[in-house]
Amino acid sequence: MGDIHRYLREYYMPHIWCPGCGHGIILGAVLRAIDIAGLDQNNVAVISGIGCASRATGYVDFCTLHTTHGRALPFATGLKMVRPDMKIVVLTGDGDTAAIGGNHLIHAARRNIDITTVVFNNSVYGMTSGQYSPMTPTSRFATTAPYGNLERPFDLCALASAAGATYVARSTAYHVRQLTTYIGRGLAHKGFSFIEAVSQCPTYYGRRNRLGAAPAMLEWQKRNSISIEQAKDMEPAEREDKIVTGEFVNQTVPEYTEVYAQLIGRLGRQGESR
Amino acid sequence: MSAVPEPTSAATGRSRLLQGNEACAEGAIAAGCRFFAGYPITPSTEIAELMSEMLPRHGGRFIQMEDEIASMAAVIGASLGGAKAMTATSGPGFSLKQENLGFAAFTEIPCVIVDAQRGGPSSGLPTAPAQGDVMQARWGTHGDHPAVAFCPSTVSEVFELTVKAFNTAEALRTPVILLMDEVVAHMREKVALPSPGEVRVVDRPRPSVPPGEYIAYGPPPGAPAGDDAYVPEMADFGTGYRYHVTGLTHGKNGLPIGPGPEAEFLVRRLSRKVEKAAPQLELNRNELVDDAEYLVVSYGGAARSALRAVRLAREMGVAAGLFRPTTIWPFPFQAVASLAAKVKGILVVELNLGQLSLEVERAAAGHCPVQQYGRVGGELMRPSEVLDALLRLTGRKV
Amino acid sequence: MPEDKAPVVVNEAWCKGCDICINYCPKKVLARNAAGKASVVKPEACILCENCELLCPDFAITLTRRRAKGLSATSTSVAQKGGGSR
Repeated sequence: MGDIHRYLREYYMPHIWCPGCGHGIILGAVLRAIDIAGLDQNNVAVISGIGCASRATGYVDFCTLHTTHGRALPFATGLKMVRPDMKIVVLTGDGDTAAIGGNHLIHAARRNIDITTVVFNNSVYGMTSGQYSPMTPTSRFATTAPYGNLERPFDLCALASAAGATYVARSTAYHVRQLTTYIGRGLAHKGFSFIEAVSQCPTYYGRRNRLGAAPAMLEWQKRNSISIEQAKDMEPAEREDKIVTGEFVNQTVPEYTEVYAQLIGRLGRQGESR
Repeated sequence: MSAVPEPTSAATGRSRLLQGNEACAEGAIAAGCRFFAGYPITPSTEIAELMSEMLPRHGGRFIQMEDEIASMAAVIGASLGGAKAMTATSGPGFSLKQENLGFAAFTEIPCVIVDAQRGGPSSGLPTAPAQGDVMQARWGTHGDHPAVAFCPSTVSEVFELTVKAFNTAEALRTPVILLMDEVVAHMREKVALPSPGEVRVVDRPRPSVPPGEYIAYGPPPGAPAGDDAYVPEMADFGTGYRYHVTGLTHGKNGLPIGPGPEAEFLVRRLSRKVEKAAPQLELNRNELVDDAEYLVVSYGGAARSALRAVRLAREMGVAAGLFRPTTIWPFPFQAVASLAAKVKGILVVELNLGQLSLEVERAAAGHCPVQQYGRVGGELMRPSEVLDALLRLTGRKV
Repeated sequence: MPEDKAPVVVNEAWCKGCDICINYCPKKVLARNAAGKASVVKPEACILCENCELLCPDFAITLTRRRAKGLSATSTSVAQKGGGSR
């Protein structure tokens, strides 16, 4: 793979992420996927919400929009509607997407609007120093789950699939090559593409749950990842705590802004009289 | 019912019987609006319905978002893509939009927000008028920020002020609120729509320098040295200008900064740029104020009853006049202050328990008594009620 | 061999010393220096697997040479292409 520094705002580096944070690895995968896809740097908009992952937009040299908490997808929807020629990438975290922005996720997926969403899932609210998120596994610890998390986490890929996303995949920071491939396929896909990238937060999640430093957390990702095929043959109890990686959905469905452009074309042919 | 003066700007063209909400949609299209995102809510829904029909016919785009917050977000995203963009809502939805409205103010992304005010608080009285969102229009989003809000009293004025809202949003790169109320939104009146070409349309300042020299939040080339109220040039996304937009406090290059003089400068500049434009934005449609001894201050739907009351008072020998600001934010402070120095008393008539009256009191600064007459039960006050309140102010027996 | 001839260049200003590259280098090319940053200690051992570059969360590692054919972006993990780690 080639050098990706030309996509970075080097004058604004180093970034704010903690030592060993998986988000930098995932952002690298995004940039390599963009590089491999040969996208025009001027025609890519990268949009994020609020949280550690969402700080990514400051560091990358595209049209970048760092929005409000959970709202990256509706901002992206408005931009895509009026600039259907642009490639829109949303970078977001698990709190941003699965909690405060959950409604926007399912509706962007339902519309099948051509946006590639990459969720940096580190199972925790890092920016506010380690509260549990909708992606924190049951019984794991967080600053707001001092007795262990009582809630169940989402299966985000299942959620996106059920809501109608037309490309859905999951990988991890450790599986960075596979992750890059899936992001690349998401970028090439016409429609709403959703890639969950499992990340590591050594500072808050790792430390509180005694998962070791960053290399050990990457090892955990490696050890606990199973393919969709492997998962099929496992009992639900066995699958618990496993990361199922692979492509869950890849289908062709009319894309929203194309459908809208067809409407404009149809009305234009009818003339403007009412 | 009313004899509120017809606006003068949108004078010619075809005449149509229009609802306030319809006039708003017509005004938006005439102003160049090509994107609308909204969520159904009474009493503004007709605007969304009309925009869904009209926009694709004009090459624009409409989307019904999943909620009010998303609608506001989509409008900002679309504006950043270069389209003039609008959303329309009512009280509860206006509350939900506040965070992103602040984002638009801070990132200087032009957009128009229509709030057809209804009875509140909370879900309140969905089909009944109120003017309870006046202070929310000024201070609804957190942090210090500029605010621009226009209040129409007639259907013609809805058209006129919708155009003005877009032009102001574009010129100043700031969100502009069209603060209607249910009376004006649902009322039907004859409107003389201007022909295309008669409407003055303003576009945002776009970059006058190539991408390599563009500084997203820097002063425009040619700005005087030390200009602390400038409006930066705005590049559409996707046109070769790559830059960062963030709701974090940012430097001139758009990237986040920490506390200090640059942060101080930014927040002050945003308020200054609107304050500087305030004299051009101010538009007071007054009646009988020149020789007035008692001043009625009213706006929007309430001003229709207030004007009638002022005329009835004149018939009774009371020298009353109506001060009717159509731009309520920035508040016409000087105009009210100089009138307060001349009159014996001011009555503020509004459909709330005292909101714009607070500004009037500040401007009057004790020069004359200021009283407020309000209603909050979802009914427009009758002219006779306003007259009684006015007579009480004069000391006459009612 | 001086570091400027090494195929792996570490930008110490960006390196935060997380040790990921050191752990995932199959040939022990990298080690922690006195400043707590990654540094190249066995440049001649580098097999251009790109693990360090791909897994560096800080964009602090750049390869100055690449394999002629390049590494496939479609392989599934670091371990499969770059060899095991610990």
